[in-house]
Amino acid sequence: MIPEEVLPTAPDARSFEEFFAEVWPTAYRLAVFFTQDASAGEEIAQDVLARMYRDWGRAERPEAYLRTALVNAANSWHSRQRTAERKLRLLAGPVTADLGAPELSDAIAALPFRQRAVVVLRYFADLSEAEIAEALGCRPGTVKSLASRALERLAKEIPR
Amino acid sequence: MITDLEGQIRDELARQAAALTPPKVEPDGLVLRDDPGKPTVTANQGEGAGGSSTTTPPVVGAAFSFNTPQVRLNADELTVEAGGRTFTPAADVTVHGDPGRWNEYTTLELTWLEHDVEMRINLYFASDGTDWWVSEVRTYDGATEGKWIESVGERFRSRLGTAYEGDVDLGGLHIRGMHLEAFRTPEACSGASGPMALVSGYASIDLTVSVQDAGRSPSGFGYTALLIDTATCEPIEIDGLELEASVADPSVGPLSVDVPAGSDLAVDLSLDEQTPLVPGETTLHLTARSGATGEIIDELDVPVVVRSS
Repeated sequence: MIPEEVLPTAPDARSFEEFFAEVWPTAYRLAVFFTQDASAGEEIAQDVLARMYRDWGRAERPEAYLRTALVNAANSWHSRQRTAERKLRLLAGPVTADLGAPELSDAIAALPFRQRAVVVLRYFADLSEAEIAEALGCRPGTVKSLASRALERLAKEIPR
Repeated sequence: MITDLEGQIRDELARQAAALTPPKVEPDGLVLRDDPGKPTVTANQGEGAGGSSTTTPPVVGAAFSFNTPQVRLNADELTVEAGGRTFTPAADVTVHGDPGRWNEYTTLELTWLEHDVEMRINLYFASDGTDWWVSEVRTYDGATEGKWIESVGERFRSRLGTAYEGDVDLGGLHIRGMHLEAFRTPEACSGASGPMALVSGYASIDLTVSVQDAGRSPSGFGYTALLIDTATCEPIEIDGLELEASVADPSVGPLSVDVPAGSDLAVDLSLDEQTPLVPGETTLHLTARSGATGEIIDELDVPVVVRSS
């Protein structure tokens, strides 16, 4: 469920092209982080933005709406993922192997979906608890709880 | 220390983000990647002649019947003509629905394998609180690496609580004797034993994990439910509620269940990445209690299936 305040109620002054140029890189990266799958992440980000394009002009806060839609779409994707062959082990693959923190990236990838979403939205997107709660359709207290559990789990699983 | 850990997380995500180069996509390239042209709907697209809205029960014994808590699609015939072949969702069809938002948005998503390729039908539903309609229809194109054929537009408008009935010819999608309901009234609203009832967002929970990934790859599911006032049949606030969740057979998966404190009727299920995959079936059991008295408000069982691929 999405809180009522997330739903678009008034037009955004920007053109969709301007909005798209601003949000596409972040939307793509969020979707890949949420799904842990580069091709699925791209498809989800494109789908969500295509839907927003069709309804453009209705959104008062399109960035918040976009984040919520990305979280929902990624969760749906997880539930019906069938084509495991398409899966790119992004975080355990050569990209992050070169980055020197495979234990942490694997541990983030192994978090339950909503815990991972909170971690990504908090530490990558720099969102507040209230903004994350909007995106996940839950209360700020739940975000705090999810974040706490995620940090506990990550602390246990990465070498000190 | 948490502070150090938070810094490491921030740095790690920033490094990964820098390594992820977003593909170049133009805004106008987003829409209708493979529009079928001018699809036709032989049944009515509104409330006039052709199809009809009905409050009668769904067809008993329909040849095709796909159900989620939010949507029911029955049909006498259902085919997709794509890639020069005919696809029929006759067996082993995965039925998924995004619960979306109460009386605002939901989906019905069918997936099956036929002719050695994956075929999908997605229906996207919208509602204004009075009527519901289909806002978009998609199928795959029949290729080995399936791509979407999309058709956007309002169809099958009907009053909430009623079904749309008619025949459909929309691009390659052909449906005869369609009975379509969306934003279905939860069964708990008729005949519930208490003033409040848990309503599942999902009919079942399917987790599919690659055999190669077993024991190391994460897989999870963010499950959600609603608490309904059975008198008004509307969702209600859950302040003062405590949610408990468990799986009947923890050896399946093995699944771990996480209910964050102050949960909004949301549960994280995840496979333990340290333990070898054990496909099987189990049940997610939810109990909602009053935080003040501990009294059970309602309980819910949701089937869980863990598959390997």
